[in-house]
Amino acid sequence: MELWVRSGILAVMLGVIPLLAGILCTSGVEKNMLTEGILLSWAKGFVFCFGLFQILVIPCIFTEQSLTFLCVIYGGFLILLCGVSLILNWRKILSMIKRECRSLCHIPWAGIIVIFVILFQMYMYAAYMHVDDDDAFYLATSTTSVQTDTLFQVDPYSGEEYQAFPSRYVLSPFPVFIAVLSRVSGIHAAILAHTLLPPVLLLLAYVVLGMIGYQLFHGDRKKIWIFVLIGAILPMFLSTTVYMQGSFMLLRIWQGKAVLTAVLLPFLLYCGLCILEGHWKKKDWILLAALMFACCMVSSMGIMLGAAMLGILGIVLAVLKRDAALLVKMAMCGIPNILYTAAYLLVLGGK
Amino acid sequence: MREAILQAISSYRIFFGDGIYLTLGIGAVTYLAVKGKGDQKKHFFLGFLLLFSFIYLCPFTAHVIMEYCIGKNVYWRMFWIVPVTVLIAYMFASMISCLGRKWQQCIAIFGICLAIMQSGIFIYRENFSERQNRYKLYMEIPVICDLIEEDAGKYGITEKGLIVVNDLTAQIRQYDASIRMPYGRNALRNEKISKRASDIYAAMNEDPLDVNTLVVKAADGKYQYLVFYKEAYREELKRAGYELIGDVGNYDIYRLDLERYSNTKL
Repeated sequence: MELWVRSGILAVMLGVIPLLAGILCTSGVEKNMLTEGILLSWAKGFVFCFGLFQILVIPCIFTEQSLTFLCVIYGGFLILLCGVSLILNWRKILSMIKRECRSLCHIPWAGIIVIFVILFQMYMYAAYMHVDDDDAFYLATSTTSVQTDTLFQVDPYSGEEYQAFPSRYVLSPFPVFIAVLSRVSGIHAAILAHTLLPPVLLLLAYVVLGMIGYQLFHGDRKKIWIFVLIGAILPMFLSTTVYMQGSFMLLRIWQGKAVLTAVLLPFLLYCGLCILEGHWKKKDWILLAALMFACCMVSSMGIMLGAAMLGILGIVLAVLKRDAALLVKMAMCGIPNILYTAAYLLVLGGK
Repeated sequence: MREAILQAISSYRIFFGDGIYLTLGIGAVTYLAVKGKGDQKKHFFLGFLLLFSFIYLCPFTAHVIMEYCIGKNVYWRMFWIVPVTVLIAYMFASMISCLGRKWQQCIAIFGICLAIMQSGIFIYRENFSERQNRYKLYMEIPVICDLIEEDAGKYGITEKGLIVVNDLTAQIRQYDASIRMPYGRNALRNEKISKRASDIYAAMNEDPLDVNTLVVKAADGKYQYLVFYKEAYREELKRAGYELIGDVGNYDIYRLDLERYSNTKL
């Protein structure tokens, strides 16, 4: 397959599909959020895509389906979602694009610096190399899945068949997500993970940061750009240990746990702020549930940390809003985490 | 329970290190605490941090999380829940916004960014290097794997087995997962591996190289190919049945005549 065709397929999978899925699932483009419409929808769409993937992939793994089968099922659902989104929202999409293009002419100087900083960080990911030993498992799992057309049937370290599912990893199959992207686009998993995916995920992380800024500063664009600028500079210089969120975000965002700490946990904070500020609609509970599935998908840490953060947010918001029902609703969104924890301990033996 | 507290404190030190990140975070929390009354966000963040701190430090919850959830060695990952960067950025953005004039804001932003840059370490300085190929793996990896693929094709070898030195163990199957190996990074981390893999690993790491054990176990496991350091033990490996089929960088690549050892057991 020609390189430009592969790149185009990838652009559709990482750009167009999440955008259309997000537009379908957002509450509607409100007047005061029009210019954030595309990026907000894209970010929400990514969360939905992750969440949907998790719902589909786990049964496929445990019923020993092939990667091809998973690609067909997942692709089918995505095409359906995007088709419905296009049919229902094509006028809205066109006006969003027009407004977005118009707003590009009014970016303040702080915003231009932010764009420059983010582009620099994306360039570093694309052009340079960072070696991480965890790829020996994660990336090898992706490559193994593609080359054997299996899902967690083959040990990525040796190439031998697993005697039992690797319980720590099988419930959080982010490497399989990379395998799906690799399989559909025809791009080698190593190139995808090391060069093409990181700039996209990094952009996603900053979009989420911008969304948080929007809630903190009530849509004041100038303040939001300054907020994102500081938020972009801090990890570049103050990530003094390899354990910090900034290190994971700037050094190895292609790994699931980095996506958790750089994208999904901040997204959860964004949801909490939306509830706090009264920008939460009934439809958004589906988003929150998808987010919890997404946390479970990207990393086994996400099963626990996602639940912990959700619990803390639920208690704090229930107290501030004096609404006990809020805590119950948030707890219900955490059901995926409970189920996967139960599966890990009871079915897989917790080893 | 006491151990849980000690581990919690140790994890906190591991996570934040020595930089000013924690200081700025504490500053941000203080700023939030003294900020204007009636701000819901203030109560939100302070409540969040208070509850998190309780869960983190409470011996009971810490013990449960360490033992049953994330493990005590990575308890520092609990800090991923805490939005320190958001709080610091929020503090600075709020303070800058309070300045009346645009030129004052420009100078403040410039000053803060400069101060952050001066007090930290540029993350890209030591963590990134020139890429050696489009896969961003060591230069030798694709060359070795492609050479083995070509050689296997010539000799009708359908299932390729490979033993490599420790330097390359982690990356071979990231490039080509059709190559079988006795072990991967799991051996380097002393995790549980098969008896045969363990014997091969031990033989490869003996000084001098235990060629006899290596070759018999390699034949037993049908690992036809070997990558070892350049010009090291060439004669011994040749006598044992290995044929040198190429070299790349600091490594020699060998193929073993499996027929010679088909009936030999150690």
